[in-house]
Amino acid sequence: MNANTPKVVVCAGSGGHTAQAKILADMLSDFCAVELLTENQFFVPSVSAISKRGGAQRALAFILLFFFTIPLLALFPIFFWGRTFVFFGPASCFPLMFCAYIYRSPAFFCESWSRFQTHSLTYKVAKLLGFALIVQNADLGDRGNFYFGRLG
Amino acid sequence: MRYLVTVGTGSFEGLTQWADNSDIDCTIQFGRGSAPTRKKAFAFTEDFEDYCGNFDFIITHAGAGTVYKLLAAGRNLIVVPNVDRIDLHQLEIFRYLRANSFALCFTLQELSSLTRPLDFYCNDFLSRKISYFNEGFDVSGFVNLICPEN
Repeated sequence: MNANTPKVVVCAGSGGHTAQAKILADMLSDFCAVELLTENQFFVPSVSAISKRGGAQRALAFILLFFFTIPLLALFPIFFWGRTFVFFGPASCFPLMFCAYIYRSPAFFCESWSRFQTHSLTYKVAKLLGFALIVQNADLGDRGNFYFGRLG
Repeated sequence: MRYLVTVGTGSFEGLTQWADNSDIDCTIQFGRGSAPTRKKAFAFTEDFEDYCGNFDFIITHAGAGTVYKLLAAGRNLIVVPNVDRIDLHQLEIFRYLRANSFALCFTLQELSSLTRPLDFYCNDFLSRKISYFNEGFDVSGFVNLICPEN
C-alpha cells in the first residue's frame, strides 16, 4: 500500500447487507485501502423503521434521512474526498449515496445475493443516480449491470 | 431433534410466538422482539455460528445474511419468510431455497398447520438434501471495474 493505493469505502448498511459487505471488504483489502461503514456509525444512521411495511413511522424515517443529508453534505469533503464508494444498501445509505452523487465520487452499488427476480429500492435509486450496478445472481444480469458471481 | 429458532438482528414476532407455543425442543433467539416466556431464549449472542453447532436444525427467518452464513456453514435450515417487511425480499430467498432444495421451507401459516410432527419433515429433508453450491466471486474483475488504474 502506498499514497497511490485506491481508497475504497464499503458502505455496509445493516443486517444481511453487512455480512456481504464484510466479505467484499476482506477480499478488496489485498488490492485497496478499505474502510467499512456499518449502520450505527455516524455516516449511516440506524433507522430500522424504513424496513417496516407502511405507516407514519416509515415516512418519518425518510424525512429524518433527508434532513440528515444536509450536514453530511458539508462533512463529506472532509472525510471522503477522493474515495471510491461501494454501497450495499439498505435505504439508510441514501444520504451518503446522495453526497457521493453530488460530489461526483466514483460510486458502485452491489445488489444483495438475495435478489433473484426483482431489484431492490436501493438498486433503483442507485441506477437513477448513475452508479455502476453489480448483481449477484446471473438471472438479474443485463446490459445495465455487471455480474462477477456471488460473494461468499 | 433439537432446534434453534433465530430471527437475526430484527424481530419476527409470529415465528417466536409459534416456537414458544409449540411442543418442539427448541431455544429461541428473539433479537429485538419480545422475549418468549415458555422456552429457553436469548436476544443476541456473540458466538452465534458456533452456538448453532449444538442443534440439529436451525429455524430461521429468510434474512439474506443469516441464511447465507448458515448455508455456507453447512447447517440444516428451516426457512420461514418474514412478510411483515416492506420489500418482501425474504419471499424471493424463500422461493429460491425451496426450488433448489437448499433448505426446508415453510411459510408461517404452513408451519402452524403441519399435519405431522416437525421431526418427520426434517428427517424426510435430510434423506434428500442437496448440498449448498457456491458460485464464487471474481474479485479481480470487480477490482478492475472499481479501480481501473490499479
